[in-house]
Amino acid sequence: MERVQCVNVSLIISLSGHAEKSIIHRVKAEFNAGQMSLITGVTGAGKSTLLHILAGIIRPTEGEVIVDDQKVSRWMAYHRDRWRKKVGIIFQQPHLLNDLTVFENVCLPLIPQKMPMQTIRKKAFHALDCLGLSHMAGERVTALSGGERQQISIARAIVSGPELILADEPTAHQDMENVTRLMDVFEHHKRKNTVVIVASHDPRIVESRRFNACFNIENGTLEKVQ
Amino acid sequence: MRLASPTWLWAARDMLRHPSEAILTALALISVIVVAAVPMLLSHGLSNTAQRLLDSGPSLVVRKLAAGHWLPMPVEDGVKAAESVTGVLSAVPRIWGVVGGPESVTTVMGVSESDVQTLKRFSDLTKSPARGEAFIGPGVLSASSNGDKVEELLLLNGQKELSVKVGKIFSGKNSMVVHDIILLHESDARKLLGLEKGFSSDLAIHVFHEQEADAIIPDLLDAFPWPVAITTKQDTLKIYTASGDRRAGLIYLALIPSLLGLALIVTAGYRGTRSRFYEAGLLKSLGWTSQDIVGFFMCKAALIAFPSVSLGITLAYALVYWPAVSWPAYLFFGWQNNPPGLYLNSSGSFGILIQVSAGILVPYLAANLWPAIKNATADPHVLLQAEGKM
Repeated sequence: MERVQCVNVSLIISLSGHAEKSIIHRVKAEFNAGQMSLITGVTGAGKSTLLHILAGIIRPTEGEVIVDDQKVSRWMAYHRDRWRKKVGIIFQQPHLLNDLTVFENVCLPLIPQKMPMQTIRKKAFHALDCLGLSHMAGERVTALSGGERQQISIARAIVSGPELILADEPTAHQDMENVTRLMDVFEHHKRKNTVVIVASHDPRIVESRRFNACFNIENGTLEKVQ
Repeated sequence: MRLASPTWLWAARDMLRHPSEAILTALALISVIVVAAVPMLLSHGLSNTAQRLLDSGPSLVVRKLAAGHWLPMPVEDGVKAAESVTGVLSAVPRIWGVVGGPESVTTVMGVSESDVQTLKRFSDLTKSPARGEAFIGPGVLSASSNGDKVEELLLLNGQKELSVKVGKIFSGKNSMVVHDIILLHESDARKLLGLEKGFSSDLAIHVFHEQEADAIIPDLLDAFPWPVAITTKQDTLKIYTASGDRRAGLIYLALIPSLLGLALIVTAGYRGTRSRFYEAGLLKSLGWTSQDIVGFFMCKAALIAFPSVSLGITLAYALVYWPAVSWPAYLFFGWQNNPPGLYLNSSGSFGILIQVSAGILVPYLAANLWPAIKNATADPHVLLQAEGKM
């Protein structure tokens, strides 16, 4: 993957009656492979929604998401399914399956990839190792703290070696040591030519100066600030 | 999709997330299969067995008639008349009748050495009874199967009274043919039934072409110089199976609860899979395709359904055909004492088991497939939002 582009991407939702609300408004942006991009903005500005559009989870009502000159956002469900295989997403909420162990949650993206269980196991432990979590592989996720749960969801997002990493507030509930480790993980993927897009308003991230491009989103409108 | 593929393993793991649900579904499927398959197998097995028993019997049975009752058949004239009809292979005189036994009326049969070969097919008979001796089936004396001491002498009341010594009691492993029968020496049977030498109870007629048996009945009626009643193998089969069919009809009522059970399983399967929309949305977000999600839910349904159906049909088969079951005799023939183990003919039961399995499997799998497709084809955003977790 060379680049992900947003061309006049808008999302308008219908409210009760005939009212409509614009969540994302004519967003134009380009995210290149081997670069880390930061999207900042206040809560409710539209950061998460933009990431979901990029991930193929939400269809924009207008505009296109273009990946290597192909209009992903207009693809049929079948092709968007395949697009999502290339994406590793970290939700704002961890979205873990509570009655599974840490290891099993991390394995989830690998299950349908037709690889032997041994390989799945190896990859899952590698992802957990990257974040220093392999010691808790057998624990149930219900026994973990909010910060640990978020780290598990980060391990789950990177386990399949995605070409695009979308991280929504990945440092919530994390101490500085974990923030640094997480940024190292993102840097590592960036060096492997992955597109990394982080949405956050955590000052520790904003001030880390590790990003190649920074955007600010306000009332659904994205603006490049660096 | 290989059986050891991660999707199958994951489906098995998913079952363990809700073990009580999986166990209850499996038990319900097994019960429904057993309830549905047993009456069908039993009815089929009894009909086959009756057919097999009759196949080894004569094509036609001829009895001499008088006004309202039977008369002894003159053997020489009877055989001559029967064998004069084209298509008749042989006519064999038989000596038998119903007499008062030690506990109830029972069937007595006069046996000569030549009959031993025929009876060997249904019993462990090795020789014919001697004069004054009786070989009896296990159903003649209830005490015999209870392990109590059997009276050595048997008092029988026919045309005359006869006391015979019990020389052999057939074991329960013998065919139901000899279950409640008394075999006597030919001369003892004649004495008891009031049959003089040169007369028999009836004539067993074997024909060259079995399917022509009905066609030669008018010729046979003409050939005999006195009125006769002729019973065909098919007539006997109808009598044999009529009571069974009546009871089978009642047993089919059991299908109503099994259908209700199936409806519940199907509903639970549908709701169970449909309620997993949040997980489906999450899996889609994590890169699972619609096909992967449908495959996963179907693997899980198959992991529950196929072993349950296999176990259910095995259990149903064993209940009906396990050597030798005795409950059909209680149910179908009303035998309260010493019911014989029925060695039912199981040919054709595979088709019935396939029908029953398909009748249960198809609705169950469809009930899982439809919501799986609905979950898998929806937008992940909608699925995640529906749970209110996004």
